[in-house]
Amino acid sequence: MKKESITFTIIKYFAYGLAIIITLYPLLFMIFTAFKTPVEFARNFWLPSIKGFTLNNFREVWFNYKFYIFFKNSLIASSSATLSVTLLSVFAGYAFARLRFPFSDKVFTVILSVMFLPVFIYIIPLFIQMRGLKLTNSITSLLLVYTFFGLPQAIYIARNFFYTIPSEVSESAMVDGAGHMKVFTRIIIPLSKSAISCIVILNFMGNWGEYIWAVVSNTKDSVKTIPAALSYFTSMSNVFWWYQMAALSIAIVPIVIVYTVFNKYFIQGFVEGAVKG
Amino acid sequence: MIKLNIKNTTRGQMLGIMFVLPSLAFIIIFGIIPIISSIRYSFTDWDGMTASTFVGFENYLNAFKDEVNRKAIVNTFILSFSVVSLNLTVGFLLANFLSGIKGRLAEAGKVILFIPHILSFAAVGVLFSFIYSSTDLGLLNKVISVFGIEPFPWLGSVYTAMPAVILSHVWKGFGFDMLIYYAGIMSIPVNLLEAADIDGATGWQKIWNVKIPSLKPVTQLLVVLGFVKTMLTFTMVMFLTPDGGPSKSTEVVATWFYKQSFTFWEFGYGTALAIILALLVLVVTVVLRKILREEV
Repeated sequence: MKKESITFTIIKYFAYGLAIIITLYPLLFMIFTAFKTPVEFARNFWLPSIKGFTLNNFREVWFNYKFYIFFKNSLIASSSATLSVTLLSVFAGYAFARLRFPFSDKVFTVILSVMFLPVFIYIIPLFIQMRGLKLTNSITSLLLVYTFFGLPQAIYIARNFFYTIPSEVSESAMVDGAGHMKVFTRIIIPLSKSAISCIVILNFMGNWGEYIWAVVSNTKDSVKTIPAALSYFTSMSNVFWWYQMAALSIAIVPIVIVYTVFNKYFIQGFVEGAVKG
Repeated sequence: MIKLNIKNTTRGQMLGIMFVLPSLAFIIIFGIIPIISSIRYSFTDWDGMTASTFVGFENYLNAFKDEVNRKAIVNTFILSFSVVSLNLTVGFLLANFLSGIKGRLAEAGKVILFIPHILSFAAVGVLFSFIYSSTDLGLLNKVISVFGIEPFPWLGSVYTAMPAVILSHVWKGFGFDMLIYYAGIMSIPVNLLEAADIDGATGWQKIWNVKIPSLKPVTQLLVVLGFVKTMLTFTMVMFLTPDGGPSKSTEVVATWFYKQSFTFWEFGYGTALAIILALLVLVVTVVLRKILREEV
């Protein structure tokens, strides 16, 4: 029953189009500018250009601004922490869900409650710890702390997921003689793809963009991550825009590409992770 | 059967403990112990290097007297309230619109509009530093120059700095609220909406009388989640206004904590600020939950 006027429909579509433009154009502009020569940028501000196309900005930012180091650091820190969180949380989540052991409820509450305090409570003591262990300015420091940051939520997601696997599945396997480990590795894990991808996405994205610990722990260029390096480019800095856009592109485009391809899992991961968090 | 159970129980229990131990170790070493340390530090005057002195509640008292801290708390609330309101509104309106279209357009819309949410705060901060740049090359200034207006210092004026910060947060965050609302709208029982149609309800009436009431739980979730998240914002503000903005109009509790701790090296005062922030978040969560529950 179309009770609304044509004008209203036009307004709605116009507003929607506006939202798309406001969302997309800054990112497109970033990419256009990253590939432009300064001369072309002065001449043509808004649109992409083929004449003024250059890879020079990327070359400058990747080598002279050392983004190849920062990219490497971000990649290693994010991946390793994601791996450790996934491993630890899948084991722990299964233990909480299926392997009854004494005090499991209390332990679970303790682990979860850590999540409800703001990260700032942990920053100074963690800094003191890492300094004492001589681990400041190291990737290890990022690995350890990012694992800690990601564990509670991951364990929560894992445990909830394992609750949904009917116990008949593992019970029938055990009647056939399989021990707990076999059940876990051969049956449960292959079933857990959605929970695992959820944990992987949430953690990788979180680690990739993490800023405050990155900036407190690693001040030397050799171990900085991308977000920390981006602080060269705050509103108070005076770096050429085309370099800034190239740096931003390096920081953003890989993630956007992975997102567009694995879109379904991303949205599911964020929504589930946040609703459960 | 009984023998099998006993054997598996103790073995299962031991396995369970082993499975949990590594995670528990992480939580205790990097979580529980730092919490205790934080509380301890907050009662001291310490620069992180030399010996610390016990000062009791002095840090907490100073936090009340600290004018910047008081401003920061007010700013944090202004920011959180504005961002949440806007995210909810924009998110809902777009979700409602998308729920009315089918096929490729709707799918593409959801994918595109969620992109800002997956970007890191640091990247969005740099992007908006450019958009808000006070030079004539900043994106916003370029836009208004089309209308003949002179370049404006968006982040440098006390009237526009906070709104600018608010809008950056909204740009990044609305997609999340939109998706949650979309899922909510799509799960409203079809007969509810059909009944409204039969009663001759207009689009707006359907929204007010059917959709929004049905989405109360979703709204409650988004409000609490969004408010707390924004109260803890740090990175975006640091990138947009590293110095706290004109007359500290964009200094928030998190950024002030960082500056006290790692620029002024006041670890004692800093941890006290962090603990105060944690308490504020707790109070807000409880209060919000209470208020929102009564509306039902």
